[in-house]
Amino acid sequence: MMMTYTKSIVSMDTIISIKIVTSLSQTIAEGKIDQALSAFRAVETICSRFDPQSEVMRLQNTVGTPIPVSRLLFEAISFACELANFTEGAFDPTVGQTMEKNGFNRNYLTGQIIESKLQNVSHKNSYKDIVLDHAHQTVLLKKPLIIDLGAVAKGLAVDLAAKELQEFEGFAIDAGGDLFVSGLNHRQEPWKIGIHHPFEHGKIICSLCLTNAAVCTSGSYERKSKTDLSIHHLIDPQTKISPGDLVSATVIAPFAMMADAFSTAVFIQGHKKGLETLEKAEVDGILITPKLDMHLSKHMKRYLYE
Amino acid sequence: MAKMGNKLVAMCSAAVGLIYAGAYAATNNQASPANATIATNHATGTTDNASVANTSSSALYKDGTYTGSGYDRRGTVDVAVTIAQGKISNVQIANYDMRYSESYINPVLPQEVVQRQSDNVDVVSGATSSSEDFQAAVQEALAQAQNK
Repeated sequence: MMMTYTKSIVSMDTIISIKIVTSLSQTIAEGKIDQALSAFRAVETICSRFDPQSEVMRLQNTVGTPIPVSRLLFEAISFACELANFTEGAFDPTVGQTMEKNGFNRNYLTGQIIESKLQNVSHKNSYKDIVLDHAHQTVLLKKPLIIDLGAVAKGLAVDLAAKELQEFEGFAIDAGGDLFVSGLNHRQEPWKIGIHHPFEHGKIICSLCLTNAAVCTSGSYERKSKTDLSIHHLIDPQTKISPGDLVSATVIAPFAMMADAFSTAVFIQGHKKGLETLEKAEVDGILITPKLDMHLSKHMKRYLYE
Repeated sequence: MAKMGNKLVAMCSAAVGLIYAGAYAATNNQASPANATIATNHATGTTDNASVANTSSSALYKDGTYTGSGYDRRGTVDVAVTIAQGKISNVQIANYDMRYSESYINPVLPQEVVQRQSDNVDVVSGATSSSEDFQAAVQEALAQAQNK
């Protein structure tokens, strides 16, 4: 008989929930949920921009030397740079310093404000200042810079959590709106996924029906700068301002790290270039403008429900 | 161009596979004092802290699990905060419903039972909601955990 088990924690400044649908025992299910949730804490410890002791934050001032890093950090930075290259810099993980300056600098658990002291501040940082050596698993910075893995880390954590849950008939991981669903829900049907309405709390703007995929959304409506109200947390690396062409960008992909990064990239690019990017990457998505015009990628219709 | 999508999928697959196969370990390379190397062994679910940076007399929090409650737009929220080696190691939430996210009650008409579209879905994708609504509950739990 199929039972449902759910658990939720606070991690990475959001709510992480995991739901399993299975006929396996409660002990097995709950044990695996705990293991899956531990992926978020592990990723946060390594990738958090709000902890000066995290592995990624300890890189910032070491210039010109290849630094051996953990596999996890190496892969996260590597994927972020790959996306930066793919989007010709529209997405760029070296925006960390700009984000700190815009007030996205507070540790959500301790309340501590992070104030990095970068030596020789340069305003022309880009992902090209990061050199990766795959053979030795090292990162070399050409300039002092702060790497922001906000668009990659949560997706990666979701993918790692999903690996822990492979044996179950169905599961859903919800990391503050970044999702991965697998198998069938408790009604033995593919998962029904709502997309948050950008302006009306608690309402959904449209519904999807799918499974075995990640669904991630980037939006300007949740996290706004406390120092400058015209800025939200998504920043165009080239102009350093928050783009306004879109208010929400949802991407569906086989991996959450991919969906997470692409939703950020296409949000920054706007709907025209964003749709081109989605097509080039062969992923689907929905891009929503402030006037609530919905731009769908080529095959998006097959996922729409109702 | 059709190959690009596959290349990215392959990258993700390889990355996740490699990380999963090892331990999710942070390396300690910088010559700075009191850096802890945290290795999580996913196969057994144990966490080893290789260097103990906090002694109980200097830690901000006492080890243990502490509960706290708060009130937000949803109603009551309950959390259980676990402290290990003087630091917050887990914050668990009771009774969270992933169909709604934490901000579904109309703040103007809290008493009204509204037929929400969310009732027809299993889970919602949106811009990352913050954990602000749980802060009061977390702070209450931490207040009990303080080393006095």
